[in-house]
Amino acid sequence: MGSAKEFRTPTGAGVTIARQQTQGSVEDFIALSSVCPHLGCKVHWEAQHDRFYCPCHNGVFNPSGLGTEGPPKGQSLGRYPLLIENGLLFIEVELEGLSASEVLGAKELS
Amino acid sequence: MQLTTKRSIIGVLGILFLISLIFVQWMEVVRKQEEAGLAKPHIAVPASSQACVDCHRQAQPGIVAHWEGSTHARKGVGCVECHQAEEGDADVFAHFGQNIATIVTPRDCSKCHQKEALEFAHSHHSKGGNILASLDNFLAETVEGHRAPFNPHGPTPGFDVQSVNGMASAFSGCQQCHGSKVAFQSTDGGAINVDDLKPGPDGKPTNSEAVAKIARNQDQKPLFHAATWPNTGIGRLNMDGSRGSCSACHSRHDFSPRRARQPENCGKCHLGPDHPQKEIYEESKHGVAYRDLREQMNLDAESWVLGKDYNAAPTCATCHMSANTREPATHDPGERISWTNRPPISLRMDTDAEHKIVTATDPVEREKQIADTAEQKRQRMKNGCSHCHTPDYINGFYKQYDDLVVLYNEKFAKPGMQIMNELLKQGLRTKTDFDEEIEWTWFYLWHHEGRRARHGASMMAPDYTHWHGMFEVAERFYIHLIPQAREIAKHAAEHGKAEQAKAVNEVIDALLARPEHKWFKEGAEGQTEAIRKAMQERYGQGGGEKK
Amino acid sequence: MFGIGAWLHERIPIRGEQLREMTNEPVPNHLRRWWFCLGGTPAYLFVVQIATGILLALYYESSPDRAYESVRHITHEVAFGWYIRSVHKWAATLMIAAVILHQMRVFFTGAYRKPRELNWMVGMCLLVCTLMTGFTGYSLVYEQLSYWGATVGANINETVPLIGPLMKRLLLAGEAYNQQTLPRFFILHAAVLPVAIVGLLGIHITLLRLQGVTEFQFEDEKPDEPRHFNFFPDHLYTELIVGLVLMILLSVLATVFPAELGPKADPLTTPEVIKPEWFFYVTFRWLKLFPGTAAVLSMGFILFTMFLWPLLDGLIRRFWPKSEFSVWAGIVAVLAIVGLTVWEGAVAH
Repeated sequence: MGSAKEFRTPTGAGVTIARQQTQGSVEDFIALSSVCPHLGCKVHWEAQHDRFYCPCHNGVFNPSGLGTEGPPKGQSLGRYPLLIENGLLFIEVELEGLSASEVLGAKELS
Repeated sequence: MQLTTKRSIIGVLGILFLISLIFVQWMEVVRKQEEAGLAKPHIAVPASSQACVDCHRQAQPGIVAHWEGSTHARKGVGCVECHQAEEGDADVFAHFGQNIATIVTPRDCSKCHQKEALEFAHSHHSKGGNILASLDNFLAETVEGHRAPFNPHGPTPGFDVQSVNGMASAFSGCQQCHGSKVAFQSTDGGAINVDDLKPGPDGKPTNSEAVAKIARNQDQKPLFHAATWPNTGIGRLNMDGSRGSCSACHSRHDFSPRRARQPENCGKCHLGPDHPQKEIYEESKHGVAYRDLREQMNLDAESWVLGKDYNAAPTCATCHMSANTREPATHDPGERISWTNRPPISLRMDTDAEHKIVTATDPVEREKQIADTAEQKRQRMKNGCSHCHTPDYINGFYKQYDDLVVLYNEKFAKPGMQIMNELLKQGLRTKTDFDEEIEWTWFYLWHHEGRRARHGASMMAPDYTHWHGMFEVAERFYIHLIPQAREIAKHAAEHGKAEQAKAVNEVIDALLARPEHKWFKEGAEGQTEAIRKAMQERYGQGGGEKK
Repeated sequence: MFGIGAWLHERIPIRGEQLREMTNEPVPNHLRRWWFCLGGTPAYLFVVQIATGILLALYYESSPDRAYESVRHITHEVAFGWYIRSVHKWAATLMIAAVILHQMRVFFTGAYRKPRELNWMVGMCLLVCTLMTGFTGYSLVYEQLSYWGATVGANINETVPLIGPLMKRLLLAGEAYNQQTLPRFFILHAAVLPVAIVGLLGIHITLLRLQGVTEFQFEDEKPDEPRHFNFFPDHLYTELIVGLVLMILLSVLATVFPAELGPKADPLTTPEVIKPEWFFYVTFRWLKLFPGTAAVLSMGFILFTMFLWPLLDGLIRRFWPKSEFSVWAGIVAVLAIVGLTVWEGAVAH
């Protein structure tokens, strides 16, 4: 809850998964691209400020990925669809699925 | 401006430029010399340590020279940074205006090397001092020595021996690898160690009574109990409550990473009849490659990442501790080990949150307790293997290794343990270890030969797996352990303990009736005949002449 | 001797007097003051860059796998590698500084005005080429800054309407940083841009020679003195002095503050504090202040205005001949540039 986990899709794109509720459904989780929509740097989660931050040009995003301050204000981090099957969390990405170990990693969040 | 003035300015500037180029040349020459090891790198002694260096350069020039060659010196870490103590520490003493402590513990090192200290604290290395109350130490303290001083057997010409230190073997043997319980001399003639000082979470002693009793010289420097210091055992029990000694591997005062990367460094302790890891390594392809390609190992490099900075061969550090491109470095070798072959019967390295091995047998209970599985640990090791080997190759090796460990466990270790337990249960051997022959036999079997076999398989040394290992295990089991147990039973039966003797014999009979032991009683003529036949088919002639 | 002279003269039919006239142009008196020699400085440093750049290129490898390691090799192992690399880096810094100072001098003395408008525009192209060479230069090291600088730079291009995506693809050789990106930067840095600079410099100097150096008269000059002095050897000496001072300065900077090597590029993590080289502080701060497209377009607009300034200034002066507008505009621009640079330099984010 409230923590974030970093993944890399098979195509190499960075994805941040965070748990934001504890209702026990797929809506608890959110999977966001870690690429800043401004100029392509990598954002990271700042737990102390409850925000995603891009160090390149001071972009700030709220926990659901919406830009709140800095140049990317009003833009959003890309969102990946999620689904839960048999207690495992899956991220739907282009091309191909995630490997078993990555799914295992996602499970640890719950 | 006149032309002549300009000319002279140009002349002056030209000379200055030339001087700057000469300076560059000089810098290059110095750099090359330092690189080639012909000149000492320039060291700026931190102001706080200048006085130490000035004085100790006279008294112990070696210490200062070692330090000058260290990364610490280049990065401005001087004497005081590590040896500084605070008012209230057990071992503090005033030394030319500084509060100094002699022993630098992992707690001191952790001021800068936090991650390394934490990993080390979780490691089995740091628990090496636990041996102080174990079976091995009973050997040194009682069997080999005596727990109290005793009178000499006779006079030693030219050397006045008033009393014999019965603990000498433990102090100079066991504890130099496993670590001592560092102690001060007490004013009443005893010793004061961590148990007396009772350090709090900050490492400062809470028992001021014990502190007051520490014997000191005329400069107020506390006096160490000579049996416990000097000591660089890896599980040393320090007076600030910390465990271990960083200098066990990172020898003071140069703290050379180069040395810690080489197998000889581990070889101070990981050798000998009971766990000859270094010899095993030297026999393996890994060790052979290292000996051949040592110059290509980039041992001096600041960053030493397998797959990036070197590829020539692995050392102990490469597989067990160092970084590779897929796995960060760790100071807990146990993070990558999937079996512990230390106990009589090998255990899977499924560990709990406290980094202790989970020994529960109930699967549900196991899952509850396990925080880090043996399989996860093995995967970390594989991440290193995979720099040179394909997944199929690695998995194949692990199958071979697992099979050997299981074979040893099931054919010899568990049966041997069962016989030993039965003898104890029936009162046919005493609780005291090493006072009966069969106890030595059993110790040889698992502690020496059994470990050699398992370690040999773990690091690809066939001779240690077989001739120094399983061969001797088998001989010890069939030719020594079983006959000795039978003899004990026979002796017991003759002395009115027929029932107990019967119980032991039943255990042995049941064991030997199992298919894997059947050959011992019934012979294996059928098998040799089959082999001879196969040989004949293969080579056209039998090994027939030989019988 | 005569034999060789005649042989040469047959093949290069030029006489001594002609040669002297070509090279020994009379130089106006104001050039005795050093700050009028700033135009020669970048050209001089450019030669230093070519020389050191060729030496570095002997060892540099432009693939992402090898780039960082090869720069480390140059810095730590190759004989004098650290010195050559440090001189190259410092000469780049000084060259950009000299270009900016030269441009400021030309602007505030009005030397861009009729008939020299075109030469100002050539100068603007030189400025852009120099900045691009600096940018591609530090991208080659494959430090963290190199990687993220290149990524951000390419995405800035993408923001440009219509041709943006194409420009990004051309620069990165794909949609994102990949194996082919670094070789492109290397070709740009070591071949395309230097050749462009040589060509532009040729035009710049030819135009200067055709039109003559702008002449100024200072109040402390006596009217009856000759208004020109000889290029050779008098002005050459001045240039030599400037050159030697620069070489000494470079040597001192390279030895006292040698070029270092930051952490290797990590495509997975943008470092917490990341900044470009100082000459991009202005644009960096600008990008932080305004949203993407607005920031990029406004920067383009400002650059375009600078490019066309001689024509705009001409228009203004036609309607208000006494106007000092350009001076005020220049002062505001300089203050803005210095202010943004200092701001960016002073704070972490």
